[in-house]
Amino acid sequence: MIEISNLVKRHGTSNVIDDLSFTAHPGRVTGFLGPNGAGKSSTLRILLGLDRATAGTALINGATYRSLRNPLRTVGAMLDGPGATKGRTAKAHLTWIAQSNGIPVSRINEVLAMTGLSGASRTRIGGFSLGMGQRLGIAAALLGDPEILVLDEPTNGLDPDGIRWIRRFLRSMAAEGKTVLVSSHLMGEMEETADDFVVIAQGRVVAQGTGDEVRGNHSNLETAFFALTEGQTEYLSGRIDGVEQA
Amino acid sequence: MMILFRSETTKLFTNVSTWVIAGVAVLATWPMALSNAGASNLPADDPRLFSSEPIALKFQGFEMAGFGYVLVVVLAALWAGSEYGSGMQIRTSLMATPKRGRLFLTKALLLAVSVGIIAFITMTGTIIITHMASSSGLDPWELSPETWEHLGGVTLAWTLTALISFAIGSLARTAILPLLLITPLVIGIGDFLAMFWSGAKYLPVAAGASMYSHPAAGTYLTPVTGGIVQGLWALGLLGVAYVSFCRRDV
Repeated sequence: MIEISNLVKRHGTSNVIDDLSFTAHPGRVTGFLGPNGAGKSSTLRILLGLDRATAGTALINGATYRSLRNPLRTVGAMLDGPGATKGRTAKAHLTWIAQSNGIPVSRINEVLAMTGLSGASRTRIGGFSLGMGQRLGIAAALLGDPEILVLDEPTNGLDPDGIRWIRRFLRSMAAEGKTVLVSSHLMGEMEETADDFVVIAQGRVVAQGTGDEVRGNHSNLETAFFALTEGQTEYLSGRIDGVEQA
Repeated sequence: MMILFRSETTKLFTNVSTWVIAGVAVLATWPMALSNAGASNLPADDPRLFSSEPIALKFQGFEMAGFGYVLVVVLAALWAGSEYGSGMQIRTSLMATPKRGRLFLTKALLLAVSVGIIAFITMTGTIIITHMASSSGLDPWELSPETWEHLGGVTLAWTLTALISFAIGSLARTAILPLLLITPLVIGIGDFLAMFWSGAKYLPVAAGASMYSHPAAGTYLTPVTGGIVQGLWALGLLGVAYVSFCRRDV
């Protein structure tokens, strides 16, 4: 289980995350949604021990990420693509990650097969397409067969087949009882995938609950999302080139 | 700690640039030493030489250290900077090993061991080739204790300079800054500065050169003082980089 409690991250005088609280439960896919710049990635980086919180806590099964022993056996995560240097092969990349957490190297071929990268195991990562890079990031996240998965915008840059693959993959992970937390700025994309939704804007939760709870009186989740985040995006909502749009 | 050392070793040696740099350091320096020694098969005090000051046997061949020296600076800069390249591998590294201090020290230790081995192989081969190809009068297979001391000195100097380069690369989160700062020192800016500024002998590379260079070839500290000064540079910069590595957001 993932528990975010009263989380604050301040950069200078502005709060990137402002008293954020939510929980992601086992066996469910939790969609973590918000427009660009809402604080999704910052929250996930704090959860994964990469950034320090100004206040509040982000816990995994009651402990901070940094306190976990061999953390990849508990949490698998992907932030911003594969997180790999381009000069190394996919297999070499997964090998050092596996070794760092005492994961048997035999697991590498399994995760390569699960993500459809068996044929590219000896290809240098610099030669990967965007979608292959995303799948390599997911393969790395799966290495330790973790009970918790944290994925930051995993469908970025994927073609429709890739998006469909991710949806099925996330559902299958939840069906196995894993806790799945997935960030996205596309409500429509998450609508068919997530069980629970946490919608944030400007670092604050603006709605959370099941699809029905977040939808409220709106016709669908996407409309609800736009209504909830109206005026809280990084750009002028509804205006293009200074002309008010209908 | 051992599984982390193994994992970082895999990371270092599955990068093709590591092998290229190590290979070029050894396989380019040795032929250059052969060419250098064989081309001027003249007595060390022959007046036709650039310097007719006889070079003591125990210092002969060490002038070939410069080429490989630059390469290990590059290796160290890449080792630090590649974590922060476009792939942001550092996030994967820190998610795999959130004990940041342990990760930093392992990376530094692995670099020191690797550069130490590269330096020792390169320069021991260079000295043997130099004495084989020249009429120095020294049996290349029975180097004197003084020559072994200088081989230890050059190995230590390369290793400490690589650690300095690594520390600067970690602090700056790029390979560019250590290359800009350290490479000029390695190719002789320190010696140039020493001509009009006596403090230049305390610069890290010049201090390190005191451990293996002919005293008449530049303005140097004593070998022990030079080693201590360069060691303090490395320790200080590694300390600052360690604190930064452990504390900052990525």
